[in-house]
Amino acid sequence: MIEISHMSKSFGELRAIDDVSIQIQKGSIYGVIGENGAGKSTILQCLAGIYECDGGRVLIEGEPVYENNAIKSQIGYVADRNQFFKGYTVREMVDFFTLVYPTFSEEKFNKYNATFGLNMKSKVKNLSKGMQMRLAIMLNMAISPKVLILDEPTSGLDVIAKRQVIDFIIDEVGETGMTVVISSHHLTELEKICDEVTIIHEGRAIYQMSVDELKASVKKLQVVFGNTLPEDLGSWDEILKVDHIGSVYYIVTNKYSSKFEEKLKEHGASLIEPIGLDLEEVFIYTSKLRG
Amino acid sequence: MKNIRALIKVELKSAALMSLYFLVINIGYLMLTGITISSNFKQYLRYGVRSAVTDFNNTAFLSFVPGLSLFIFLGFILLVYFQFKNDKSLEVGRFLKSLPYTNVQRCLVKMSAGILSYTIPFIILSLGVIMLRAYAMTELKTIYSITPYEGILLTINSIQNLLSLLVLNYLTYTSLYLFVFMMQYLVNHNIGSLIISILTLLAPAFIITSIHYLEIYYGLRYYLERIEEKILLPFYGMITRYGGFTYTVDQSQYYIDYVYIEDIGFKLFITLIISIIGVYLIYQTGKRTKIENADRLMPDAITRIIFITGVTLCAALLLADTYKIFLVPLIGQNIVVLTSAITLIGGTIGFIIARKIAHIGIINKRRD
Repeated sequence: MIEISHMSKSFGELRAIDDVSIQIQKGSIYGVIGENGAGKSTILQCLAGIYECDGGRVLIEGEPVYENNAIKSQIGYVADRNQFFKGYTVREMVDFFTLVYPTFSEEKFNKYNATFGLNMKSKVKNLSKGMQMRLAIMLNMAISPKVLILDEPTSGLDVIAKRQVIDFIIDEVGETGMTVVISSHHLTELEKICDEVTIIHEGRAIYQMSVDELKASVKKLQVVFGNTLPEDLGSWDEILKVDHIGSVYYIVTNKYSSKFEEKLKEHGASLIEPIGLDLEEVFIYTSKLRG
Repeated sequence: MKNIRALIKVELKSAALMSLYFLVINIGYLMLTGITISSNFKQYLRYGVRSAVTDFNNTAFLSFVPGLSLFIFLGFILLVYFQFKNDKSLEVGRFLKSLPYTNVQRCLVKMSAGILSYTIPFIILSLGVIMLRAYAMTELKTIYSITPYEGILLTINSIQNLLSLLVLNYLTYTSLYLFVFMMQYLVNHNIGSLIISILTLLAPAFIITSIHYLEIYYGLRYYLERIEEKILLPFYGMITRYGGFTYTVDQSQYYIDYVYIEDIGFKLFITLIISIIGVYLIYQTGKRTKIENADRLMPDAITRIIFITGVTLCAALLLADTYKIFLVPLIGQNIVVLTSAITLIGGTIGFIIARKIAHIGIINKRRD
């Protein structure tokens, strides 16, 4: 299990992460989402043992990650940008990983590469951004890590490669019980694979729940009011956004419940029709609350 | 610990290239020494014993080694640049930091690879010099035996002198390398750190020279000269001194110069202490280094204070020197008040610039 408890991290005067606590169950796929600069990468880098937290702690299987070789050898980390030695060939990177990680399986790497088709003689610097990302994903998956941290892993990948990467991850989780922590701007993909998500805004975790719970609590309602419209509708705590087309009101709430429906009815709603939102829409609407 | 081999392999890759450089430089000098010895023998065959005594002294074995220092130091600059090139790139630096190695492991492997890169060529050079000396001495002993100065000549050409010099050179090289290496941990920008390293090494010589030139001793002249003589000069490569004596043959006077090492024990001690301090500081700074501080030029507050103080002092002296060199001849006299004012202005300018440089990246606006 991964336990991030009251994590904080500052860069100079900027508090990048402020008291974030996340618990990730073993064998789950966990999404970290947020706008650019929200602090997602910082959280992942603290989790990978790259950054040291200023406050709080990051534990994997009950042990701190930072400067802990035993734990770090069980972590695969794929960064959002090219991270390997530019002068190395793919072959040399494979050899390097073989030496670094005792669990690295060249056979597994070759199996992935049969799909992605990277030339083993190509130099890392000559690979496109998407190719470099494929290489990073293949190398880290071939470690058979207990925890795989993926920072924007699908950026730069074409739609087919994206699909392949996601399939590989799902298969690996199914086969090995690996835990995956993933951040991505492509929320549609996260929605499909993540068990739970945390939405980060300005270094703070503002939502933390399963995707289904999140989608159940953030809803768009089509509402028709009878004679009178509540004057203070827009300022209700539960409401994120109100729009209307003619007499039909579209209300986005982040606290959807039967109680809320009752409240609307008490204020004259004659028709209430919930409309399902996907994760991306949930993120966009909740961002209005944040902004 | 088995996986440390991967780290060694990475570090040896950059060190191997520079090892080749050191090898070429050392072999080049070895060949040069061989040519000098051969030429001296020709002189001896042509002009006889007198030539052998005056020309063929120990300078062939001893004086050339300090001459290597400049090339070796240039090699250190390149070596450290290549060693830290990857670490200083934010992306690769993060990748390296994500690997299952501690800061101390990475630092020690890097440092060991660097030391190895110049040590092996130095051992080859030392063996070469010792062999050349052994070869030359078989002839020289016979030549010296027919002169009245045999004892002196054999002493100054002794193997002990040569070995001492080689050890002293090696320790000086090591302390220089460790200093430049340590600066990479104290100053985050790769090339910036190298420039600051070079300037820092030159700073003591500049300060002492300026103090002599400006004659500002404040009653500390004696101590200043002792420091200069005992620590600074040996460290700047002037670890050998030239001596000489005259002798008369057929009413003609000849001068024999020779090289000797003064205070060898003390100098060995100083370079050894500097090297040990270097290793300790590298260990401490390497252990505490953080990739998140990569944007800060000088993450450590003490380093910033030392840097600002050093630049302020050097800028003050530089402007005062400039005033004395260019303006005093025009004015016709050295006005003390004006010297003080110019020194103060130089110090202030240096302080402002140094403060700006030292605080680069301290206020960071990056979150992602």
